[in-house]
Amino acid sequence: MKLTVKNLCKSYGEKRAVDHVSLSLEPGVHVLLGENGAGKTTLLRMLCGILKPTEGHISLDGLDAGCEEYRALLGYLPQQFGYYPHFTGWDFLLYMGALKGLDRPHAKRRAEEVLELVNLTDAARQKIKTYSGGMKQRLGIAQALLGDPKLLVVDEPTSSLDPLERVRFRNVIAQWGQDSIVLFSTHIVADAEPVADDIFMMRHGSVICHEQWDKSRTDLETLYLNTFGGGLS
Amino acid sequence: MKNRDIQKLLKAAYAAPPPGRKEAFLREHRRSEIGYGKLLAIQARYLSPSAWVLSVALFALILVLSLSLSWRRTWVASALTPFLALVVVTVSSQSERWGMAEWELSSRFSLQSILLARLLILGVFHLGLLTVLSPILAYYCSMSLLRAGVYLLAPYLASGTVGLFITRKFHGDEALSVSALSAVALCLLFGLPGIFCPGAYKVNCFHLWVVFLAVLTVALLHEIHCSASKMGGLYETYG
Repeated sequence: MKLTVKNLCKSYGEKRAVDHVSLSLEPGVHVLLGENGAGKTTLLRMLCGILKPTEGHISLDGLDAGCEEYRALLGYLPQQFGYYPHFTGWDFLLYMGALKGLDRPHAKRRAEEVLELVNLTDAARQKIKTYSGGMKQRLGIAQALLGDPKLLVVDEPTSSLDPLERVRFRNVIAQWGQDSIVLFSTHIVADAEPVADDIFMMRHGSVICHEQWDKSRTDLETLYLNTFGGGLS
Repeated sequence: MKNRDIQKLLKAAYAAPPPGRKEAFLREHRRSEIGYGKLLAIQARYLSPSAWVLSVALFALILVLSLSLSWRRTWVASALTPFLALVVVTVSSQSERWGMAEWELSSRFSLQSILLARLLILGVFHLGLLTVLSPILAYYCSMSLLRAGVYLLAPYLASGTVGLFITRKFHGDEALSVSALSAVALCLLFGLPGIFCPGAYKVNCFHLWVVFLAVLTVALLHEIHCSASKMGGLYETYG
């Protein structure tokens, strides 16, 4: 399985948010690092078929991004999101499962499994509006895993999580990356280091650095600072 | 020989095979087929309970007021139906308002399909309520079923059209507030003639109502088309 991104561009008038990005991703965990405004979210939205590229092409083993078959294989966690106020965690997962095309018995089974993975089983029947920020984030992660995705795209997934949940999330991602393509963007270098198979660094809409990553390394922060920090260390 | 030349030779020697795995890949990861009927069922199941409750409550209010005010039934019912359409307008913008749009955009259905499904479900439900109300109004006001139906439908379509237009131009709670104000304005627009110009609801003016209804139907369809188009490009203007 391979996700191929060729010469991808996204322009808003004069501003180029993504500038000629080309990637070739196989199953594994691929991390996207970059400053605010680097174009990470725009790139991820195009990969999920939410935004149409101005130029370029995305395909997953011949399936064009945005087509129904492609989106059926996709799991996505946006950077910012909300929930309908009348939903419980369980309702939300069944609703998203239905939109992903899972029949109800299968959706219920998967909902139980992913809630267990993110440690939200006890809170599943409560209204989402009663959840803490971290619980909402975990529910979002559960939703992304619901359809057993072959392409998992997560945008800043750990920003609201406490340290224990961040370790749990890293374990889930590492496990998922064995059979699927996982692409996640983060500001938290410590979350990328132990799980990444490769690292992409973005700036001003372009990928400026791509490094195959050895999980035993612990110098990602140094690499990040050398790339973006202008000599800070 | 330069590295680039070596790379070219290697690429040619080990060229990727043609994409023959696509069908096999799809067979391995085939998802079940889901049609528009299934989407309608999903949206009907997960529509906010308050939309159904509010619709029934407004219908009951219109019915009670119409029957209790024996000498002003027609225009009272007519003046209150804009609030019924307001329920549809609030539901139409809920994906954007509650931050669910990106979840739904990445699902197997387009956001336009989801919006149209919601409009269809609530529209048909409200049509059912108005269909129940029409013969009651026709009986108590001694008018034809057609006239009663038009007097109920015209303000409903007017409110729906104006509300959808407003939610396209405004966002979030501001859109809701302005839509609510527009419903109040339409309530007065259809209600005040009942007090100051009762002839507006007489049979000799009915042909004007029919023309008005036809214009509103076209306007509403146009607004639905524009709203659906906007949903499709929800994030296109975001920088």
